[in-house]
Amino acid sequence: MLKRKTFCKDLEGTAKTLLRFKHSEEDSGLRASKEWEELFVNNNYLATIRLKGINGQLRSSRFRSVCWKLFLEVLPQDRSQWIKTTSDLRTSYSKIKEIHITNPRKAGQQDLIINNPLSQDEGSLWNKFFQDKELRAMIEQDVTRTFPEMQYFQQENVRKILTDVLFCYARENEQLLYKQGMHELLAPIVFILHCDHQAFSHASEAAQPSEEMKVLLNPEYLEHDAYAMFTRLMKTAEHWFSTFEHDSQKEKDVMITPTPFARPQDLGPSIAIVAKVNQIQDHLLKKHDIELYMHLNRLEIAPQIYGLRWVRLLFGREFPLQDLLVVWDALFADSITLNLVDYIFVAMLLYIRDALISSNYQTCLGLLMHYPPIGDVHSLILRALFLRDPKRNPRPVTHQFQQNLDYYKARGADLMNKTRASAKAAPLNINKVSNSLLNFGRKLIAPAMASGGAVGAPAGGSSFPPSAMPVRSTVEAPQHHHHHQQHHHQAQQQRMMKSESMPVQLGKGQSSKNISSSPSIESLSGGREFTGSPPLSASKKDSFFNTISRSRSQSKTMSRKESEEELEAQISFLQGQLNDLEAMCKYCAKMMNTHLGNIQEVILQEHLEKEDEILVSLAGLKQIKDILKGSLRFNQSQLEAEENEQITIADDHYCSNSQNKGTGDALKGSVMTKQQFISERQTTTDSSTSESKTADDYIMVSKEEEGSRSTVPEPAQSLQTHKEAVVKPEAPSRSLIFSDPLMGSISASSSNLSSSPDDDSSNNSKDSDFAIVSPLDI
Amino acid sequence: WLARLCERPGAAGRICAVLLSNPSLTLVFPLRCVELVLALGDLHIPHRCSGLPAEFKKLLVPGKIQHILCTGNLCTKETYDYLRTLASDVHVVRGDADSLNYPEEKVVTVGQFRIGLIHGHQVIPWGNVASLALLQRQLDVDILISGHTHRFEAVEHENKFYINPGSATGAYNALETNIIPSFVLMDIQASTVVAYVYQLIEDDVKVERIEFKKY
Repeated sequence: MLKRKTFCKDLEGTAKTLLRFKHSEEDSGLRASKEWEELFVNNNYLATIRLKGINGQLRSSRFRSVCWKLFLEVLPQDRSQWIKTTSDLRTSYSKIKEIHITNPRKAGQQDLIINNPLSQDEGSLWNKFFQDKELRAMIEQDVTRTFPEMQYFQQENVRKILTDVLFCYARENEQLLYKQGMHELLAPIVFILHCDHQAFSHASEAAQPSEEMKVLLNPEYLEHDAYAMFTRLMKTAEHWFSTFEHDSQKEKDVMITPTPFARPQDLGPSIAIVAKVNQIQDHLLKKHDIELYMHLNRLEIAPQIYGLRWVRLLFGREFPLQDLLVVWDALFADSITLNLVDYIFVAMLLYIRDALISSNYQTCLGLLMHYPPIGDVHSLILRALFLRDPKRNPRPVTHQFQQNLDYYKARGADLMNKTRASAKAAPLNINKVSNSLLNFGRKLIAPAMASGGAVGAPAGGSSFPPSAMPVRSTVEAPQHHHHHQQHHHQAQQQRMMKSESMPVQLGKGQSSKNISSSPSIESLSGGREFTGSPPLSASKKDSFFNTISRSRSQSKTMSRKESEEELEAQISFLQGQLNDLEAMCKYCAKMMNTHLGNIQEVILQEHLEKEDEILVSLAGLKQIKDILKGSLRFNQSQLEAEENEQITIADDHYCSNSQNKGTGDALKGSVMTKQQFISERQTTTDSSTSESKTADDYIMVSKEEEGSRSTVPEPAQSLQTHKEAVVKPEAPSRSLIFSDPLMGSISASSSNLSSSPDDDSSNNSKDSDFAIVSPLDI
Repeated sequence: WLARLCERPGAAGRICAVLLSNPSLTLVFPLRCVELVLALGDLHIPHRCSGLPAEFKKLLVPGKIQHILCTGNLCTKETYDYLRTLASDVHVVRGDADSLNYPEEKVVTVGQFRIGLIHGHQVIPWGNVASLALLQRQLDVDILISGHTHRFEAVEHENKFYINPGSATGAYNALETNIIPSFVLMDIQASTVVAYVYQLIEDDVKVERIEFKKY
């Protein structure tokens, strides 16, 4: 029983499905004829279908192609004429095709002279064939790229249809020929024809379609119908593709420069489509959304960048195919003149206005060129209608595009490389100026380094960038500081090149940052505790110079004010860096001093055979130490002389000094802790075993200084010179303290075991004036 | 021609057949069938002639011809380069005045035809059809192109085609001094060859058409 029941139920089920299927077939046929009647059998059917088109109700219609034919006026209003008109159009297309698509081999009757393959005669079929070949190749190139995502357009026969229609159109309209974009207009037409044919064949399996339907939806004539619709559409869209330039002035005066400050869209010859798109933006958009208009203007986004594609393809690439067909329903239903295009254009812009206004050029481009998908395309149409005629159409609910804009920023970045004509030039120029001035300064500084700081300072002053840096004063203090800094710089040749600009900038820092530099010195003097910082500072300085030179190139895109601030920041940082470097040099000099002293002691004690040579080399090392300390100018013998002159040493000065020396506490008691170091040095020298050591010091001095003095030390002289040596630190220290608060103490300390020739030369003349003080007394 | 195509659909003919099956479409010229082959030789530039006649140069523009078969005696590389500009596929065989770089003979397949190429000084007596037939059997070709006689010939012998394009520059021969400049252009469609002969007779280009079908 159960089995039978279930079996019956199954039977019932299958029967029902079968019936349903049969009904569906019949239904489809019935529905088709119903729809046909609904659409086309009323009195006022044209208005009805127009309304349906605008409202987006043709989306699932079986007879969309017929509606489009009516909209495009391919079919006349009078229904009785439909069949006749259609067949007329079809035959005309066949004729056209025959004319244009030629077979050169067929014409055997023609004169061989004319009709041979190599003939270039105008009447030659072969010649025509080769010309056609070129045009065909161009069309085919575009056709293969039509709707690549759709399988339908990958079929060979479909592609052939497209190519032939476009080719015939090009040959029929020689003044326009074929332009890229026409294929995108033809493709949806072919598609809807195909869809309708499919639906029709499905419907006609069950029910018998009317004669009218049969004729209109004959799949054999797909190509002919497509050609008819396409030509009609192109009659309106023709002037969008025309590249005819309305500017007749071009011939007369090519030398006229374009107006300055012109927008990019206003430059160049006026082509119809460009004028149209500009008009849309300048008038329509301005009227409805001034803010967006200003924003786009400010970013200098010419509407033809994106607008050309939008209009020429009738938004073919902005919407997915189904949505596109709805848009075209509305467009065609509205009017054959395609008036609604402008308003849909504006509606599209308004949809993404928030996103556009908040974006930079890059993201805006990305948004416009890759239009974001709209959920309800019908709302766009309603908006467009409302914009055109606010009184008669209802105000639609305004949707806005809200989405993460990073995707569009990336897309925009790709496009920017192609479309962006020139970078923002304004800040570039200013930075160019500042950079060039800096370079100029560098060049001046570089020779100045060799010739002397006196040249460097004014050069540095003149070469300042316009960022309001004070001209370097001719104050000797900063000058010397400058020089000494240059000393440190010269210690490393490579850094020199990068740091050439530094003295220029540091001029500003000089006056203001002297205070800042002293704390660094104090930190320095807080014990000889240089852990790893000096070497670190050296590397930091090196890397920093690298970044400076790099950032110089990067700073071209920064604004002027930013560069000023940056430079100031750089200055302060570099000042600190320099101070660190100085500290490092001092430390090195001190350590060298210590060790040299030890070596010297040992050698003198040892009394080796060739101790002269060793002592000479020790003297050289002492020179290096002096260079590090800054008391000795690197290859600047002339300047040493100058320094000497600057050092105004009074006779009393030295005497008083010597007396001070006598106490031995003068140095110790000095404020500068450097002096402590000096005293320490002196104590070490005091602790040295013999006078001969000091005498030997003197020997060093004399040897390197003149090379003429005898190696045999004279005790008196030695004492004197020792005193000189002792005094020397004071004199230069005094003078240097006078001239260079920063360096004076350091140099004072350095010249203890002094081998500085300048001091010697200055003091040698004054030997007789000094009271001889033995080191032991001190 | 239509019927022939339907009967024997070759690789190119297949496309034609497909198109013909659709009754609504009128005959569309199958573009892929066009194969133009230029046969010329015995130029002897610059030894006997300074260059091709101006009228010929005007006809020979790049882009139209797919293959060039040259019987030899160019004699310089510059001439070879000029031929390269006309078409990408250039085949040259060695003539008695050429350098030793080219092969003695060549066989090229275009469409359904096997075409043999030789200069002709190897074939004795020069230009004798029977001797050329010997070579044709050896190479097993449908069309044999040879030169050296500087005289245009197009002979169908035992159902095989023998073409002598003559001298394109009108260079003198050992046996004759009055030479008419000539060359041959072959249009190969499936199993038919249409040969267009271009001759420069008294400063005028005269064209002749010869058809050959392969069975």
